[in-house]
Amino acid sequence: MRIKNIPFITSIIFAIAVLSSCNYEVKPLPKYGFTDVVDGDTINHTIPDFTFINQDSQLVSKESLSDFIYVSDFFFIHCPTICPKVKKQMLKIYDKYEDESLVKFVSHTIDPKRDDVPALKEFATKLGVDHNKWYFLTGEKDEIYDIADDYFNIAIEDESAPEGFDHSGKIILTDKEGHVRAFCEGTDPETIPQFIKDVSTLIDEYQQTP
Amino acid sequence: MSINKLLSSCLLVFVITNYACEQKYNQGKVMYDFHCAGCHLEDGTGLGEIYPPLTKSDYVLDHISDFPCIISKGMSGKLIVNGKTYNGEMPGNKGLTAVEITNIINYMNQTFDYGLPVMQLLETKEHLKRCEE
Repeated sequence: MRIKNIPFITSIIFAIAVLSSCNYEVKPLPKYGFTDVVDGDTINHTIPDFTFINQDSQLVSKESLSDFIYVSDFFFIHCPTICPKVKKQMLKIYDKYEDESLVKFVSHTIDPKRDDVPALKEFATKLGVDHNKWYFLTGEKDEIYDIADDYFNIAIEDESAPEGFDHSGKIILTDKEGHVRAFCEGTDPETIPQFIKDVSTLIDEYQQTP
Repeated sequence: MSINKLLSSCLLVFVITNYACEQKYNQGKVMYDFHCAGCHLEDGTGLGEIYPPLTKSDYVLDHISDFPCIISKGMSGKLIVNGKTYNGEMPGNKGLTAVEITNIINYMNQTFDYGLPVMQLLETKEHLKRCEE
């Protein structure tokens, strides 16, 4: 009797454990950053207007991205430290959403002096990605560094840092309205699976309420 | 009692050999992570056609004797690795000793499964003579 009961009880416990770990409701992603209250309305942190140039010399602005959600990072081509690591993770996310037309990828160089349009074009080509899907952007240095701040990334020109720049490797998910909805550490591969789930959650959000 | 003794001595041997294996090329790993992994990545897979892979790389297997000089002095120009063309510039790693370079190469050989014989310090020194100024 006792021997028969043990597997039964074990499976009940196991079932409870599995069921309780399931998430029946997918929670909407948060909107990161400080909020403002204007005339009684809560305004979430929003990426300000911007205009940069991509690897095909086309202007890319907040408006031109307003029909898309996008995954972005900050890097520079001569970066000998974290950038290749972050790019590898960006590629992993790109591979996942390559055929999802709602998603774009945006990489900002923080070294616009060296990373001009031809250099960015060559980099994108060597990375083997679709130039209409993944933009490599350059522009005014101050504008790039300011917007890094809005994406909760740090970009500093620092002579003592390797190749002259210090920066963080966060990968950011921005929605159509310019709200930051998810982020992960591009230097930590373990944070990527959750980020990929977050991208899917945001896609679902737009597909349910187009 | 004798079974217990046997078991515990087996365990001891297991722990020691495990420890010894994990410690192998420990310096090589530290040096690899610091000097090489930034571009070639910790898992040695490289990046697109920007940084060539060090794993499963025909170039490494065919040119292992050039690696002491490549690690020490860097390299540039066209390079074909596993059928892909690379044309970048790798900076040298000034200040690495022959011992450290040997450990990096042996760590790569072990971790990326080249199946090559262990490189001896004297071999590294011999190879390095070719690129000494």
